Amino acid sequence: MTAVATPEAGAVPTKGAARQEQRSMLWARYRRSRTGMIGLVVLVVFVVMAIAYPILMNTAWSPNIYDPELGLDLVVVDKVVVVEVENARLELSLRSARAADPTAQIGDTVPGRVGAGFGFKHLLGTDQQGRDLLAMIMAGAGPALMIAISAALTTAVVALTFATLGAYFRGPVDAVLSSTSNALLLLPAPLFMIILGTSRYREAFTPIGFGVLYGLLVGGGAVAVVMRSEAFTTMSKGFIDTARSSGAGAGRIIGRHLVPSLLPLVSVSILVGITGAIVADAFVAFTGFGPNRFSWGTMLSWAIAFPDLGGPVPTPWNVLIAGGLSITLLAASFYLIAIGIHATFDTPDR
Amino acid sequence: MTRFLAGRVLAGLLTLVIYVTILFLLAEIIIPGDYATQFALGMDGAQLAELRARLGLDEPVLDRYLAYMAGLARGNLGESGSGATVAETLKAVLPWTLLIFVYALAVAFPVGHWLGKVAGWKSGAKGSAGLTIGSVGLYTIFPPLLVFLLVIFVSGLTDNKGMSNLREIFNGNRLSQDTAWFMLWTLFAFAVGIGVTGLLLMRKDRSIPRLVWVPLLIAGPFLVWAALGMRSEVRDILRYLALPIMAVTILAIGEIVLVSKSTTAEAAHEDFVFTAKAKGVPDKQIRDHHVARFALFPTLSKLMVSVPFILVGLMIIEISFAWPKDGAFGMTVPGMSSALFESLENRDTAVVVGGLLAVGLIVFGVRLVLDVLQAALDPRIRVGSRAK
Repeated sequence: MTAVATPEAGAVPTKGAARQEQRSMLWARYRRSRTGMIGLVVLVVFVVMAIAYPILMNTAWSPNIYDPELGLDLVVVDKVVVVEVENARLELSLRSARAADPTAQIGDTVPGRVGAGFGFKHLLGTDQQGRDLLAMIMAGAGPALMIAISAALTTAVVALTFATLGAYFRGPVDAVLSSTSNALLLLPAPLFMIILGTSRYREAFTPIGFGVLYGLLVGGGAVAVVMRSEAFTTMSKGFIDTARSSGAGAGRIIGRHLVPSLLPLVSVSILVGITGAIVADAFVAFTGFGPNRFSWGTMLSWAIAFPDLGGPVPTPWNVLIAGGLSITLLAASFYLIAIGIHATFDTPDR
Repeated sequence: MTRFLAGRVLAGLLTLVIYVTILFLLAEIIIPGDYATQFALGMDGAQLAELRARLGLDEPVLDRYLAYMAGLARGNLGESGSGATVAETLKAVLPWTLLIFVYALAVAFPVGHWLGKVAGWKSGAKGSAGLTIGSVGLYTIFPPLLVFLLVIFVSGLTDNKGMSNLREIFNGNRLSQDTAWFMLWTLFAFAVGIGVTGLLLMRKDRSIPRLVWVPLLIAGPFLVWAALGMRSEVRDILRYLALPIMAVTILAIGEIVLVSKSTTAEAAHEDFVFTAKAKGVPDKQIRDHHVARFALFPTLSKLMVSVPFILVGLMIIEISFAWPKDGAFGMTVPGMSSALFESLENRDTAVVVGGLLAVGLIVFGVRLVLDVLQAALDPRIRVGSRAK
């Protein structure tokens, strides 16, 4: 026993060192990709936001002002002008003015409440109901990242299962799996999520629930189609025959040979899939069909659905642009990282 | 070729059957209640039962599924709850969505492929990274944000009234359905003409200067329509659809540049490139005549997977312009998504399934065209599929 164990024990550190060296080499290659690094930096900023948010809420930020849903910081001013259609700050539509005072006329100056606006207290300003925009953006970062993580894991597991089982067993198994994938490929996932959002299952759309569902659709569809052709190519390579002739079974070939060879491509595909999940979730919330939870999409939905509640700013462009930009940047960061990973593994000299 | 084509069509039909089955069953299970539910407050039990019986909603799911599939085989998409057939409902909205889709792709593909070619050929250069990041930005942009930005830009251009002005432009009269279909077919013909001319020019090793073909491509459909005597319709299209078309084109270009860039970068390491370099062929000629041509096929086949995403992006953009009905924008873009949303609100399952089926059919159609194009131009594909 000891005679067998000794060489193995001796081999462990070298193996670990080799792996570490390989890892640092991959990192060095990744670092050369400018796009990949930019994506990583953006992602880190959002992760920091998600972590800092609960800390800030418990220390520096009073929930009365900074709560993303219920907080408000309104200022009463008495210079609000009544106009037909409000277009600027300090204007109030006739309809809203008459709600408070039935005798109001166009051109009158009435007291009104406006969001506190920009300033040191509110770095990105407030929305028209006086909610702090920065707090809203930070509060939305956490759920968006949860969607990303759950969508990534589900996509990877489903796509790998479809592709490896199809490529290994071929025949009827592959026929069933690949035609399911092709059918799912036709399904417009964001629209389907909206249909789900109108149903009694909408409360299943927690961030994790949404990510898992989206991962099932995309992982079984588009990503599985891409993975399948790669898995077929791998199965036709010599080392699979070698493994098979040395007695390896289905589990060993799939687990030890097929899956590892697919991993670089999987990581790229699922990162691209995450992009879709983030945009889809925001879109479902934006249309108002989603569940009752706070997200960047909900924020946009509020900003656009209640243009003149509480304050006379008709179209809160700061909310629309900041919210939309957060969604875009987070989604783009995953895509940029995918390009970086692709460049790391796919070198011209290969 | 016939055999290849028949095989592809059969496989596609099978996929469509599976797709419809999934759709039908999911819609039955997921969407709560049925078309009659919305009248539950205004009708008593007997009236509701009668309405359900008239619409055939009281039969078991399996029977309804079989009846639906039998109807589909005869080209009958069923009836919507309001009495119109689903086919009529879709016929009224489809040309608008397709007009945007075909126009956007006809402009985005040549422009995107050209940009991708430039970026992929010198993939290490500084401008290339910028172009990549820009394309990723366009590809991942939250479609409503794109709409917000376009609206800010255009409403800033019009005058101070901005938003309300823009709303008036959008909520005008619609063009008639038949005109829309006619415009769609001429647009198709234009797009096919562009494709064929492009391929012919490529064969003859000729090219048109960029400064000529890009504007020609953008203005082309409008010139064709105007030449056919539809001046007022052209003005209406520019009014109703210019912004959605712009948004979808921008969205599609991002994706096409990314795909085209990666295929060009891969093709740049092929052996024939080194041979051409060794022969002393100028760099630009290798890029345009050897690499770009070689990269065209992988680009097309990769874009097949992207087509559904572009179509969904289009529908999201339609909704973003029109959402919410009484909200800040409230602009009406006639199209698929308006029908889909209305039917979702009314629990009109037949229209929802029919609408998603139409989306599936469009994607299927585009994939078939790309398949045939590839097989026609690349003998390896049709021979390879026969050998299997």
